Amino acid sequence: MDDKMERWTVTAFDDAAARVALPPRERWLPADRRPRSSLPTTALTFALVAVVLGVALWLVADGRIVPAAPSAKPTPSNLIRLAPGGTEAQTWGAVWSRSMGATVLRPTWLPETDLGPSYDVVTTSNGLHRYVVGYYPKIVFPAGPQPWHFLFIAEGADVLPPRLGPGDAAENVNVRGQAGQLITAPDGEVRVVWMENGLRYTIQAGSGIPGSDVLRVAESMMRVVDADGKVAVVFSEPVTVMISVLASCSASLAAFSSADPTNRHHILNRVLPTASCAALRCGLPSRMV
Amino acid sequence: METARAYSSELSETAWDEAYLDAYPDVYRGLVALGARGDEAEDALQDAFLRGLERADISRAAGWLFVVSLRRWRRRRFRERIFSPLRAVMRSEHTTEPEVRIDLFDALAGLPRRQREVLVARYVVGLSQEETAASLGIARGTVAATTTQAARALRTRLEER
Repeated sequence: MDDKMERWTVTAFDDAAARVALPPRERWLPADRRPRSSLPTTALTFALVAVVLGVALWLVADGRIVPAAPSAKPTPSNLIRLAPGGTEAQTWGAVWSRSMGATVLRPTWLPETDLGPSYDVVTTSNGLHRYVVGYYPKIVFPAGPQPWHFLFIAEGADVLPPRLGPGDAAENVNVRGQAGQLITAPDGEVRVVWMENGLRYTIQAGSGIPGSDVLRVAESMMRVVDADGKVAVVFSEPVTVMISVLASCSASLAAFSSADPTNRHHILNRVLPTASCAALRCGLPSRMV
Repeated sequence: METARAYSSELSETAWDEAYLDAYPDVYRGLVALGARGDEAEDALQDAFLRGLERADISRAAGWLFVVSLRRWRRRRFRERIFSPLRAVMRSEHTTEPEVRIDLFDALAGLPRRQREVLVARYVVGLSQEETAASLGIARGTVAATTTQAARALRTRLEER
């Protein structure tokens, strides 16, 4: 900066500064020599803002709160949780007695026998909401997930199905004559899901149990019919067919035996040649044919 | 021992009082030159004074006082801007306009912040180039260059008025 500019600057600022009136000297030093803090003002301001916001939120929220109308169907407080300890039959019997008419399916085959059951039933005034029967090892593993376990779950159709987790692999399978899914989680846990009797049944097995075994468990399930946990003796389809075939064939054979020789040819050619009687036909004494 | 410490403390407080009172007029005018209202400059200086009581070193008091009070005032101005609606209710008599309009300071307001601070530190507070550099945390060469540049710009602005 040259001298001329320096002089101008000094003069200009001196003149301007001289026009600034100083406060009285007694105000230069603070009356209280203790350090002041801006905290009270700031804290008060924040407190005021918080109160204003709180009141605003309260007013807004209050507008949204409406008195609830009394429920037309009060939900009964029948959430039942029993600790494990009962026998398997007692467990399924207890589930049946609390299922409000829903079809309770009990497995009749499990790949691991040393499992103790426990259960949990949730019902509403509309009927069964969910039941869960768990089979856990009687010998508890020291730590970590229990690999050998089964969960038998039945849920009302109005309960939203659980979504597939990340990495879950779903495979369409036939379960008890119904379309179902075999889902394998990344950790090896398998579950089978299908709809039957207006309910969604799920069998969830611990990791280490193959999907084929879980499907076999599903096929083995039978309907519980009483509070003792007994199951209905319902023959599966192949057995039913075989019994009907046997009955049909027996009648045919009886007719064959009692028939006169002229009718035996008709019976042999029209009745016994059906596919269902083929095996019996093959077993007929050759002299009869 | 306690008496000696108390005496020493009292002595340093007296020294700080003197240094503060000596620098007060220039720093006060410097704050006003940068846009502070009178009451803001007073508060900022008193805050800086109280901060100075905790400070052992009273050398370069003017530069230190200028920078500390400048920060205090800026912080207060920032808070006022944020809570201006509340402040308007609480202290409606205060405005952000300076009491006295001075052409030079008005023109100064149009310069970049660094140029304003350097000019005020040099020509209102009366700091040397070294003191300005130390107080504002910039190199001495930068102070010299900024001063020249800012002075020219300021003069041009005043001549255009």
